[in-house]
Amino acid sequence: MKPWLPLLLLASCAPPDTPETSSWVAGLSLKENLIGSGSEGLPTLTPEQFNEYQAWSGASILGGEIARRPNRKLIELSALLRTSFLLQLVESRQVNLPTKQWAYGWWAKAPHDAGLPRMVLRLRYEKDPTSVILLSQGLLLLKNASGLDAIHHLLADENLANQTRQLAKDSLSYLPNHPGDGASFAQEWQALNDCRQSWVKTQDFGKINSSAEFEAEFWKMAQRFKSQPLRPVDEARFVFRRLGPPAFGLLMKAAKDPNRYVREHTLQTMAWIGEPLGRWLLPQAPFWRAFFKNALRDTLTRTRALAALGGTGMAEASLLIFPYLENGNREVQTAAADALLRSCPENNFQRLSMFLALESRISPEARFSLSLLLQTRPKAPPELDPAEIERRRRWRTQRWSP
Amino acid sequence: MKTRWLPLLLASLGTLALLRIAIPPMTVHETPPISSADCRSCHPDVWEEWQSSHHAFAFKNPEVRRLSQNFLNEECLACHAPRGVLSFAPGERVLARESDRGLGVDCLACHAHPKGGVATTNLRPDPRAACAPRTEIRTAAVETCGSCHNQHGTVDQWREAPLELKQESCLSCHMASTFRLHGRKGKNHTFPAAHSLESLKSAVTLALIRETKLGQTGRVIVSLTNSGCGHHFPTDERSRAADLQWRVKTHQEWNAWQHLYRFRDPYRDEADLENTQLPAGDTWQETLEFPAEAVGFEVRLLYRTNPFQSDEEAVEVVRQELAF
Repeated sequence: MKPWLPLLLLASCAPPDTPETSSWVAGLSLKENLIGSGSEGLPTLTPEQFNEYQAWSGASILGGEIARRPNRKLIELSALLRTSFLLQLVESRQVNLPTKQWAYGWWAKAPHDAGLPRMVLRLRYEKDPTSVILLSQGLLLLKNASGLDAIHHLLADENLANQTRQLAKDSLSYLPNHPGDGASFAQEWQALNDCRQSWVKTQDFGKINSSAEFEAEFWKMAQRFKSQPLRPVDEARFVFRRLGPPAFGLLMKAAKDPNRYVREHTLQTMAWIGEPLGRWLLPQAPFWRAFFKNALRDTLTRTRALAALGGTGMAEASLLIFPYLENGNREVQTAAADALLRSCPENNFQRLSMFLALESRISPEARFSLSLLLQTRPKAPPELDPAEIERRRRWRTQRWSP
Repeated sequence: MKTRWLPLLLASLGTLALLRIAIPPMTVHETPPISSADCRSCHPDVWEEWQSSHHAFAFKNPEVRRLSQNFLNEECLACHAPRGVLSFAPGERVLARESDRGLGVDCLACHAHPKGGVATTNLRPDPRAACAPRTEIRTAAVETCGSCHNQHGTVDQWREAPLELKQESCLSCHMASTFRLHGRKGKNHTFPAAHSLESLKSAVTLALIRETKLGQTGRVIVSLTNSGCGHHFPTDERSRAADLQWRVKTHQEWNAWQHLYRFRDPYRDEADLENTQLPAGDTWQETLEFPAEAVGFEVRLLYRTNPFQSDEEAVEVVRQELAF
């Protein structure tokens, strides 16, 4: 036997990857996904179109006989053109209050799901109570309850104007669990709170068939993840956290983008969504296992992939996470410990105890996360910030998987 | 013989290669230091300097906590507890780390080498050092600071600044050379900037010129020059503001301070406000009139780390009285 053959064999068992290499496999880019959606999303209005529609809106706002013709024209307009026009109005800083409320009123009557991403973003910036209520009504018609917290907040405000309060109360009839005509306000209030609670857990108010235009708008919004200034990134995260199941599959595609920042922020958003994503993934075990196995190979975004996986709260997720706790570097170990805090079932606690007993050099964050699983009220390390402690205690109580 | 074991060997190699592809690699061999706290034992003097800096304070700073809603705005974390900046392309935005966040902008934020060990500008790093130092000129590059400090355009402002003010790089003003124990030369890690009164004082020049005018009133030209700053004044966070105020003395008593001008880059949603930062080398000036009975006139410049700070909380950078 040749003397170099054993060496060759050993070489093929070479140590695993170093931080600068990755065996991760990239998917399609945002641009390719946009093309793949088969749509260009909402049309961009020419200045002439915008001016014409704006003239109609001006007459429509006046009401009465003068509004009849422009209203008819707006009704006859394609849903995509109308949604594009309404968005352009409400996104403008120069728009006056009556025009803005008028635009949201149209949205509340006839929303199109292509407008969902950008309309959800309005929830972040819209301050006018009437506009917020109308905006939320339109979202509810599309089975999106992101505006319910705002309606709850407004109804709890004793100083709210009567007319606005009535509008907020009227929106409760849009709730999928509305107790029906003649229900007392107490019953409606209960229905509102039940809905909010259910939305936090599932973000699912029934199946909707998303349009190709919605998907295209998703990909356009996802472009913001590439931004170097943080504001656009934060806007996309705000929106994607609130789109519910129609966005979950798309987010998992975006998490394979060749751009590091797109992957990072997508996985981060998935971690923030947490439980609803976990409940959606749970029945699709082969799909999510394959997805996360690939995502975890990416050394650049591994900590975020661990956070997304742990955030799902699925007990089975912990099996994929454990090796990274036991073999990862300090950053990866911390992310893995946090992920286990959100997902590890009790039958794996012994493995955690053994790890903690043997490992002395993990970060204070990781040590505290694991201690929270193993002890009822562990002492927090002095170097940990109160907000970091609080966040982990919250994760401990928010676990949903058996 | 040869023909018997060769296929077996090839099959084994193939199996091993397939296993290597199928099983996700996960172990990462780390080169010390694994935490910035490890740096302290060999570099106690640098550690002490850094501890007094706002880099060390970045995560715990109560004002940052308030403005970021206790980091509920997680985007703020990226620069207040960053991963090693050298693992990003030059000038690209840095991302938040998971561990040791309490250390803020720590040693490894600037010195973690993407290939392991630490990055240093030292051209002959000690190969025996436990932290496995490697020469990496990028550590001192403007783009490295820019990963965080260009979020609000400071590095772009520096690029546009007059040559005599911009100097070589960020380090020229914010990491001056220093001598430590046994005469060892190094760069000061206290990073003096807006939180240092001395730095603020060296950034601007306040001047008052009295103009004589026929009639009942006095006139004074107030000017503020960005005479020592390689970027706008104030810069970085949009919350930072510098206010000029003036007051007169009549009948032996000073009247209340009056607002004259605010230098600041407004928040994005302050659509009605203009950016009034003072670019490097530029002078702002305004003429004021004061009553003829005045026996004293003075102007002061207050620096606020957030625009809502009261005058008492603000730092007085400079005050100048007009000679009567």
